[in-house]
Amino acid sequence: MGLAPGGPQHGEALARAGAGDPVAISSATLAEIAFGLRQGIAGGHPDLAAPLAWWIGAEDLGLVDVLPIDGGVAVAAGQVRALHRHPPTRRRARRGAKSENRVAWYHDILIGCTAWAHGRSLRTADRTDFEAIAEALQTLSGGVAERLAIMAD
Amino acid sequence: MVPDDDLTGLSDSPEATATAPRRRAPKRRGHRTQVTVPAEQWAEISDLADQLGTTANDALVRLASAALTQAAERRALQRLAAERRAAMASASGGGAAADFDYAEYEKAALAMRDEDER
Repeated sequence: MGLAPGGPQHGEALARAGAGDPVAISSATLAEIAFGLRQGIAGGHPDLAAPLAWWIGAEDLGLVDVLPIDGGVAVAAGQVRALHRHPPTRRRARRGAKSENRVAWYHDILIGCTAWAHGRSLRTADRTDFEAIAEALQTLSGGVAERLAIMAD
Repeated sequence: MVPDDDLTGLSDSPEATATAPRRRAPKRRGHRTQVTVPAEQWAEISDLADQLGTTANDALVRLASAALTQAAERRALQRLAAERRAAMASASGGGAAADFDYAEYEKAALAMRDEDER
């Protein structure tokens, strides 16, 4: 959401797109954003239609680079999920129904594994959970490949 | 002599040459070459050079430099992605994944199915 017009990272997104190096996001992140915007529109916030429209065209216009969930990501995500059925912060910061938390956690796993399998690092406001995903990926890859770097957003 | 259609009145005046000195690119060491650039691209490069306050040749070198940097970054990402994926393929499943004999596994599975059907 922060990359869309009005968001705190919109300027950076435009500058990088203009330089031919657009900000990369995972497909799972985009799914979460679209979910949140559509939910907001349905909940009586029609002003969210504009950012949703921006996101719908953003990849085609080269404003963002959407990283796919391919076979490598899927195999990694399934294994990480088997090691961590629940998010580390489930007793603290997470809100909402248990089933919603499970879905959000699996999205986080997909996001972490997408960054990892595409050779990227990750920017997030939720470091604790992603550190657990990075650690699981290290374990599953025998600790021989470069660890997923996580930076605070 | 100022032409009648020159609204600025500066085109051939000494002030014009004094206020618009010829742009010069920064000195570089390296290979000297001559290239043919498609006309449309040259127009864009010239516009970019104007924005940057430099020569078209310098803008061309800067564009090439940026493209080379991006290509190197893309290669580094691809290399790291391949390393990570290979590491997981090798480590997951007790190291068996990389040497997994698909043909033998399929043969055994088919034999087992045939056995069940009998």
